[in-house]
Amino acid sequence: MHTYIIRRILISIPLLFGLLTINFFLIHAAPGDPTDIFYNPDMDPEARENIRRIYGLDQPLGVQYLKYIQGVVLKFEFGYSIAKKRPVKDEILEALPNTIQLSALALLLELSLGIGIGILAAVKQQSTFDNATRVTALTFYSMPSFYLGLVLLFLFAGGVSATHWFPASGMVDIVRHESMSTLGRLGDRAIHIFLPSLTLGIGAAAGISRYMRGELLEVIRQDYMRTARAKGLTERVVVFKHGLRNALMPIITIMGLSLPFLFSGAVIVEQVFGWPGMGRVAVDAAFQRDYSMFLAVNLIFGAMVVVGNLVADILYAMVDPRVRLS
Amino acid sequence: MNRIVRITSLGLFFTSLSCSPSSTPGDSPSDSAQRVIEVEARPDRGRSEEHNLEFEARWNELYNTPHDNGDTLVIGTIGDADSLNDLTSAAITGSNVIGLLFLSLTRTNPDFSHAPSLAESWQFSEDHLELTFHLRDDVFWHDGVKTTAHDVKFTFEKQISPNIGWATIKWKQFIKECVVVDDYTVKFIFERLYPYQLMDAVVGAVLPKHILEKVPDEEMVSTDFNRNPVGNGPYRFKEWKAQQYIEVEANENYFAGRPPLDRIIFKVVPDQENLALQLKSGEIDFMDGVPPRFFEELARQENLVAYIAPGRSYSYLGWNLLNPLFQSKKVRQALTMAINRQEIIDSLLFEFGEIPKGPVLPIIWAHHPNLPDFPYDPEKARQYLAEEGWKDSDGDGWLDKDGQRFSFTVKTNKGNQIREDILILVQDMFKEVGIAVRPNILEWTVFIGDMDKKDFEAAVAGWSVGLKMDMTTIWHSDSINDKFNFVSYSNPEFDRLNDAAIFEMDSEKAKQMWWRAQEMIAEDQPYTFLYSPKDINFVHRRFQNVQMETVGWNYNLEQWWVPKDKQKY
Amino acid sequence: MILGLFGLLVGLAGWHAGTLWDTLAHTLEKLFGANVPYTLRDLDFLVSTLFLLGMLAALVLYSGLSCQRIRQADRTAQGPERQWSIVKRQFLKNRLAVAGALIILALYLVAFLCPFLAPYDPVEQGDRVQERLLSPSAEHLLGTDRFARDVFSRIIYGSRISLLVGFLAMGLAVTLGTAVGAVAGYYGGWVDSVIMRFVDMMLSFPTLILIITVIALWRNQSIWIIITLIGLMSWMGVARLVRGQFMALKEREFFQAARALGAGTGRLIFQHLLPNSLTPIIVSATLRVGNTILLEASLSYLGLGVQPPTPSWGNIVYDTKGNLFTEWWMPLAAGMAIVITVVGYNLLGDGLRDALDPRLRE
Repeated sequence: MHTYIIRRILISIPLLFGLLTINFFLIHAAPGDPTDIFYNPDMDPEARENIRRIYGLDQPLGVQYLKYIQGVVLKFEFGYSIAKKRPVKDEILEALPNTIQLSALALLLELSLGIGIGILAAVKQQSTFDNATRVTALTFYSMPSFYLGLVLLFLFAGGVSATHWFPASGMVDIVRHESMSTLGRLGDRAIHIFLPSLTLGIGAAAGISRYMRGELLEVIRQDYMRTARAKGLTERVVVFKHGLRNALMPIITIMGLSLPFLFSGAVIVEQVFGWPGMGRVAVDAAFQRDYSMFLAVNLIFGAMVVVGNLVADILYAMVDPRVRLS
Repeated sequence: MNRIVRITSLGLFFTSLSCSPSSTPGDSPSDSAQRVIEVEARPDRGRSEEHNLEFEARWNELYNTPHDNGDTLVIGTIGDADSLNDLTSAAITGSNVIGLLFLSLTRTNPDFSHAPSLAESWQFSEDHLELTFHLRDDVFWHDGVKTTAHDVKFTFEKQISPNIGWATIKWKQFIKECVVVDDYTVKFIFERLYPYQLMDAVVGAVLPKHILEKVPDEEMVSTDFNRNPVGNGPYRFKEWKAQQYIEVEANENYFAGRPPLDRIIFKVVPDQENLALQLKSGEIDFMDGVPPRFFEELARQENLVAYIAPGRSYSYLGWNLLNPLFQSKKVRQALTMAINRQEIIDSLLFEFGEIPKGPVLPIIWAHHPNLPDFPYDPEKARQYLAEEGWKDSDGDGWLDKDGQRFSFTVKTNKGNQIREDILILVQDMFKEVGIAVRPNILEWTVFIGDMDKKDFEAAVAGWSVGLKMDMTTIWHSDSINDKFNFVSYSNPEFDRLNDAAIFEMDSEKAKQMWWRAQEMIAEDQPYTFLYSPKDINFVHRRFQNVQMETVGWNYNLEQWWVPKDKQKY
Repeated sequence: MILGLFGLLVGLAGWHAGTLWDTLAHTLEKLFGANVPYTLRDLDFLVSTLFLLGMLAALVLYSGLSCQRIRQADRTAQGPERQWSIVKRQFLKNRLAVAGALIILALYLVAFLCPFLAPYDPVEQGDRVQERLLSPSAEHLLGTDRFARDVFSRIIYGSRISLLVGFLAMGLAVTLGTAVGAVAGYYGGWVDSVIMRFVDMMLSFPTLILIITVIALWRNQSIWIIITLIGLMSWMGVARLVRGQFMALKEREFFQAARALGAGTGRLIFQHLLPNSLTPIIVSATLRVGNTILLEASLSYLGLGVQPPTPSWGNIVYDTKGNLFTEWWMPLAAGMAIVITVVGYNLLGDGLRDALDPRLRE
């Protein structure tokens, strides 16, 4: 087990390295550079050149690459963001927890809603409930997140006065949050995160419920299930004790695979709901050609995906006794 | 109010524009039940070195009349600040916050003249080459250290440092030196005589020497001060959460007395629709530069008061004069006449805009009111084009000349919906006269890169207009390779006039020269001047003493207050 | 497969061929005069769709023929005719799947017949002062936008972009994914390791951010670039799938037998492994179309999609979201069009899977 984890981590190092390299040359190939934010008639072009020199942007690309890699590998140093005027690390440390919060809640929503509805639909196969949830799930699964976000925003965040139940943006009520009680603060956070996490999670939840239903239906038909029934166990025990465990296994893999989609979705959702996370940082960095920020954000996204997949594999091994991690 | 404005940025950022209420001070909108306040520009006395006593009396009125303290103002803004250090800030949100945290030597009056701020008084030497400021001795940095002449000198040295990259470095180009006379007296020595000496000397926020002197110039861009500023203004920095909000709180020790509002919060909301929604529902109290398409809905809200101010920016369709298609003046005039600019304003700006005839807008003293114009006239446009040889000889509906179809690409940047829309409108309008236009909407960095390299045929872009009359950077032939004369306009007579007018001390003479220069540009039509948008601001009606002025919506932001019974927070 | 690779090349070369379409269009215009119901810009859609449909037909034919051979060799009892009729019966029994198929069919019809169905020209602007932002009426079913263009017509024409992107990008992704997966699965060993690590790496990219960056590399973001990029960013799943199939099939007797008989690599891949992997490939391809359409819509929503005034559903939402306060039906309708299409493809994909996968038959 330990050797497996260590090996997987070792394997992922060249993977992240390749990711970094591709991103590096890609963002440098894009027109413009970070000093474009100094583009202004009252600015001396000479001063802009100086800034370029200070940040080593005037050096050959290969040299810049080696220096960057050296900084990352030897000193774990991600450099300064010219656009944000602060060390890249600081900005990421501020945004990352917010994105993790949002993604984690969305993932939770995705799993609980998806698995729950999937089981119900499978147990009541071909019933009205099954058909209704299948169609509803499919609709949400097929809905672009920006569209869902926009609709939710206008329905429940102020567009319609009668149903103005949620705030339109941010993580907390910025004026009142500090004067709230602990419980109040928790509630404040909850109503702020509700719409964004719902937007982010519901499409994936619909996807999971579809898989879950399919897997469970397949498992139910297996021989050992018939055996269990024949032993005289109740349907409930059969489904939950024997069926679920086997049906859940592929879901774990799917969950691992769905992480990059969750992060891509966060890009849009954070924009629509003004959520201060990594997605916004990433988009800004890409547009502003904020090289160091862009590279660091993408590296972290990549690392999170790698870790997510690793966790999924380990979970898989824990659920499925046939799989030996070695 | 410190920096007069960050002049002439290409309008990527949503520039804060100008405002001035027609109502008298103290006459708050809630008394008059007036919900849409149209404001007119005050005459520009930016070159004047005299005090304006009327405005100063008005400014001081707040401190003599009873008012309530308390409440919070939440300002909605589309972009986050990048830095709260004047030396390194490039985004408009940053400048707005800096205006509350830091003092400049002078404050700008609504007519662009100067009022005392950090400097109590100032005077020029006999030869007008030395400008002496006498500072107040009761201004403290928020950490308790006194603000002195040494801070002023230190700030000047940092501003002109080539390794920092201060965004308005060019304004200091004629200042030779800054000398500390004593702790509260500081002197600027100029290289030459010119009309804007005072303006150039005071531009920029004064920064604390005792904190920043330890920071090498090369590290200014990344110093901690950018995020944790220590100022000396009416508000002190409290908290900045990246991508969320910047909060400032009243400075109890402010020399002019505690500002009424407890807190001012700049809330970052990266989406226009979301901002409008929050304005409607009361989650934010103020927003400037509201897109015109939301005006109708927001004006219906009982709680909001609209301030409509004359524009301080214009958008244009620039013709690349190096391209053979646009080398004829007559063709350019015809192209202008083919565009129905009033319709652009009516349909895209919902009538909140005006057609500028030239590059100098009415709010500037040098504005020429009677420039030659080329109003919408497709018939005449076709005729002009025919005279230049562009005819539809093969009957396919498109003009051609020597077998070449009249067609070109118009580029613009993404993220500014009105500009993107213009491309679509213009495409349709040019089709009427038989010119084929392909729109090409590019990402900002790509767009400016193409403009720099002259890799465009025509482009829609914009300028916010400088208060300082100087047309060099955009129109002078020297600037063709110096980036901002994108269209490569080159007119030796214009160059000569411009170079002389910049240094002309007699304002009447200068005005004549500038008028002539504007006539040349209007005649040559290197740009088709499309529109100058009015600035729409909405503010919650509980705020009293809101005076929006041409110098900025935040002219007297530090003096806004809310009566106790109406306070929300 | 060769056809598929050809499709890949065409997809990649598509944006270079822009001028080719123009020439073709001009010739057509000269031949028929101004009266052709299909305008110049319709042509790339028609040509590419016809090409793709042809490709698909060839693929199905090929798989049918190869299946026949293999099934005769591998199993003995079931003839291919019986196999196909079971699939057909199973599919038709599934009402939702049929509905999905009908939706997709209807959408393609709409896309093909745009000039006849749309009451107005989608980019033609009306009287911009009098006729803009009209409410829905008999004349304008969904009202007009701020350029006084008929929104209903724009949505009808927008179907082309979504269907084109969905189809071509998926085609590219499936071709690429199959090729990569086939190589990895067939050779195994270190080839497999290297390729699969690369696939892992590609999977770790947040797609949208990468596409945003890559799009900036081109000045002229034509639909072809967007299709190519979406295709290049979504082949990894197919590659994993195909590799898995190949790995499993390699253990089967018919393959061992063929190899023992001395069949060459090409023959092993194209006649034995690939035809037997087609079922899951086709199912996953159908399900993937929906994702590519969503991705295109998201790009358009960020303003990175097709250039205006060409309508696509994503950019209609982007374009009209400012009207949500008042003319809410415009973004709503465009968004619903996306949802219905993606639902259609997913229903079809589900139905195909249920019908083709014998394990799920009751």
